[in-house]
Amino acid sequence: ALCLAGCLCRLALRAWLTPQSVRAWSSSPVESWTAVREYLALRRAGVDPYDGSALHLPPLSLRLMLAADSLLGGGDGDRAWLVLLALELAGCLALKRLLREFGAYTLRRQAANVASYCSASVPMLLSGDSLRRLRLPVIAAYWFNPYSLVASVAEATTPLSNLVVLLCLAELCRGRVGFAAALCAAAAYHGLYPLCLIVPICLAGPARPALLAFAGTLACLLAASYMLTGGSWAYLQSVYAFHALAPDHTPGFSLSWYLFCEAFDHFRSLFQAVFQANLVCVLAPLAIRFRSDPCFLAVICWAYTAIFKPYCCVSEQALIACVFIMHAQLHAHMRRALLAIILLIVAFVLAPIMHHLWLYPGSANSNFYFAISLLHCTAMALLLYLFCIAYLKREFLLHHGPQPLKFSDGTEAKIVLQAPTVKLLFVNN
Amino acid sequence: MTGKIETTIKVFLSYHRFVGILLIVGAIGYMVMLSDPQFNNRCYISEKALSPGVVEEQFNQVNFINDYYADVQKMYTVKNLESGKFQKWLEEEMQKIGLDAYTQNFTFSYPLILGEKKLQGINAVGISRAYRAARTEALVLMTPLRAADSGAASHERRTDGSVALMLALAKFFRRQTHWAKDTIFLFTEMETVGLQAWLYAHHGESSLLKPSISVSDPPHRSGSIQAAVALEFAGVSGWQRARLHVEGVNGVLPNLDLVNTVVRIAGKHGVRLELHGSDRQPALLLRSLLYQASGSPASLHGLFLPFDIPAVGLSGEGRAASSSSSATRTAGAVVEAIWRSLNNLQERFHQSFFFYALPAIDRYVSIGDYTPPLGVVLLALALAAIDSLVVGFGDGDASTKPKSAGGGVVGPVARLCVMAGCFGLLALVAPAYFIRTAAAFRIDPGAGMLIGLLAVQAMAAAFPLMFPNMIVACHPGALRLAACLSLGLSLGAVSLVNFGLAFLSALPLAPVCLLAAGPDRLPAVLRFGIGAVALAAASPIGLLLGGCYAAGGARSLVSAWTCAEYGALQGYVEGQLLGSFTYRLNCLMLLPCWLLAWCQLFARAWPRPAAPAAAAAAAEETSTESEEPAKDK
Repeated sequence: ALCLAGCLCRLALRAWLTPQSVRAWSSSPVESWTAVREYLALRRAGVDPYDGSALHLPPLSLRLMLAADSLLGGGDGDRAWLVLLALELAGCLALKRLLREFGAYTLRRQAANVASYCSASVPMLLSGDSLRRLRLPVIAAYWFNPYSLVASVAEATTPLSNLVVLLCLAELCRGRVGFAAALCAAAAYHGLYPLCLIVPICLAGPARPALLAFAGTLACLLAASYMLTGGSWAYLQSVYAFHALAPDHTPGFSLSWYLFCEAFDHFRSLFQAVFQANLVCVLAPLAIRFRSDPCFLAVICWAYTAIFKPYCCVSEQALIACVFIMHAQLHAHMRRALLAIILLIVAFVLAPIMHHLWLYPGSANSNFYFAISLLHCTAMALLLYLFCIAYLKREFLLHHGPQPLKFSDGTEAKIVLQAPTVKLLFVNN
Repeated sequence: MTGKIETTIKVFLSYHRFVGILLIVGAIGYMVMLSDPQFNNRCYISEKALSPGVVEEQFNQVNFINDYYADVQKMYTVKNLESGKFQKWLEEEMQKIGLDAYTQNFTFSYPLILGEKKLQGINAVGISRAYRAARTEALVLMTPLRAADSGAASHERRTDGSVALMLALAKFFRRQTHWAKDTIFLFTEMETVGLQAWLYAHHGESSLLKPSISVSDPPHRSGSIQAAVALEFAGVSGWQRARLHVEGVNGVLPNLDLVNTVVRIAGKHGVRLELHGSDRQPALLLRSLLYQASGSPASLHGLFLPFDIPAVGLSGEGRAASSSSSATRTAGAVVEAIWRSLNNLQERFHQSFFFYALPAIDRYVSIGDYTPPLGVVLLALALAAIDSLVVGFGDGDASTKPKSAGGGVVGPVARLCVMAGCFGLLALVAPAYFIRTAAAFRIDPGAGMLIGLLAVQAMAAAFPLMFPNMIVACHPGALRLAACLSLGLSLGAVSLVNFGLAFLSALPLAPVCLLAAGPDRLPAVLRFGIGAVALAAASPIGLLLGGCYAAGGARSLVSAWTCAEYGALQGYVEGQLLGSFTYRLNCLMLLPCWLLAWCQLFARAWPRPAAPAAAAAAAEETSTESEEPAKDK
């Protein structure tokens, strides 16, 4: 019923808004359905589609979506909404599966660690029931999330990569490292950045078979694409180099366009390197700190890249929200989450307004719109940070007993509690 | 030490209502103060290229105007306009002068009000090509075609004077060789519809106008339009007194440089310009805010502004006692001077202010000066929000883990917010059905719409009575937080689009939102009664009715009702045809915020029973705490 209501909601929004009006401020060049149409048009014109500058999807993903399109009765990629809705429904099933696996994984992990927990922390432990009760809100949070609604109106192709990433996370939670690695390869093939998931996957199980599965799948996919495009490696340039170098500075819901527009040309390569290094460098400390819980690490890594990659996708922000909600046990420890959420709401309301003011009456300029993107990114990063801290704090409390520690003085207990959090904070950064 | 600061802050916050009201009163005082010459600045020209009034105007051909005026008087009849004969004549005259002239047919259909009927209209356009440059830039001089037979009520609004003046200027401009930009002489029919049709067709976007307007493609085009001036004059010598119109669709203003140029040049020629027909200080500022808030353009020039084309409107006021040839000459010279000035532009208007308020025709208040009052009002709301955060959402005892209780508090409030949003959507979507139903009962569309909106408003008001459980489940503090934050966010967002609307709706809404819970000292019944009356008056529909009543001089309720009918219908129709946001913002932002404040009143009146509510909250905590980021938008 939720899915149905979500679909109806999307259809109603589609009737009200045109994709163009939404796409302008919310879509990034790597996920636009226009690329699919461009592909068809160029191929019909007898030009190698990857010679153009609008196509940034790998060949197999494109073929998959076109096959789905013709299956659903389209011919020229004009059934975009139907294909994407189907993908979203599949993603929803994957989300459900992830929830189930995640519940089982959490309980397993809790059972294994319970011996080391403080006896006073028993009420903090999770039950299967409480985890099962999360399903409805998480799925509702996906279907009625303003970000996913906007993405679906803008005809973003992200549901495909979302589906693969969700399946990968589910397999990881289940402990089937080989499958997870293969799915991670598929996700990385589609959008490069899910590549980071290989780190938690290797930590979760035997690293060598995982890496082998990953490399094998990726090689197969790349080779298949090579053959599909008629023996040309051109697609590597326009898909992966595009992700890595971010040459398209169309304003969107991410930070890269403004940064690279502002940077002097001869510094551009430096900025590109810094931008990517920012993504890579964080992986190592995160992997060290959260190595005992690869599933949590995977979520964190994926959310981090989804927030900071050069072309962030609106629909992924919705999925991040789902993942945050999934870890309900952490909410009680997330201080100032309200602030981050309010900032997100503010950013969401103001983004279209600023975009409109910039481009139509001309009374604002690009700085206004970028400020909102920056606000959004800051709020997301804040939320992610609070999420990590809450996790550490909960672990600490599990090991040392819940909040009112047995000190005679209340204030002192408070200070004692702060110290490890602060210390952990330094460890984390 | 920190404890002391904390207590101080808590004590300060406990007075937040009093402080908030003081702040709001201060904001009003500040705004009134801004209209005083001591607190605003004299306008100046930023764009040096304009150098208005430096050239010596050469227009001396009074006979051009008089000849054309005589012809226009003969041709300009309702019958000729409807048959298109007048537009054909205009086209021929402009071709004789040497312009690229054409006529453009358009069809207007609006089933909601017109039914099956389709209206046909014809625009006449002439493009005077630039001598001195590639034809990449253009200026537009336009007038609406409004014929009226003498004796008719609309006779005063006819535009024969500006038609004759434009033809004379077209003839005159062809003889001058210093034009660097094309001039488009535009005569549009059917008010906004014709202009809208031409604008979209000129920009090659006519497909966006479907299904309401269909228009043929123009045979001649020109470059990007740099500025536009809309003239509306009855008779040729009304130039001693004219009114300047600045506000466009959604209260967007033209660049201040354009306004300054026109004002300077008018001053040089001794033409008295006035703004909104008033000189008294605070009233004028209030009127310009009201014009902005209405979202509808002050004159036809306002349609250019959404296209990022700065534009002003000039209309004649009253009639000169006798038509003298010097007044007629002034008319031509003023437009010539404006055109010479705009002709100098080297890039688009960008130097001066886009956001300003005009307390007098030659004085301005910059955005930095007029936003603080709204900021102060928002601060009052923020104080209330911070207070409810600091007090916490625990039941009674503030210190018992306010954060972990947050989840159980958020669920019911989020549900209430979604319900409030649904009422907003209802008010947004429903008018089409109201109008159709009204047509079935042979009721006026405006009356049907107003009655329907009143019904929606009544439904929203009755909502707490229909679902008392939803209110009782909410923690009053959390409800207050949601109400204050959503109102603050809405006002902030609206102020970016339309400052007048945000400020004028903040003035009634913010205090009632602050005081909805009411001062503690009053007896409960009185508190509830006063709160209910104040909130009802501050509701969007209450404001519309109240505003109409006040605008009519508080004389007759019937005329206030008619005016409100017209206002509601105009807001809705302009939202659909001109892309004005006022109606939408009222429905989607202000109505839900009002409903939250209204619920606050009831939450205060029905204190929630301690034990069951806490139990219910605890039960809901697990199931709903996680919906918050998704729903609480």
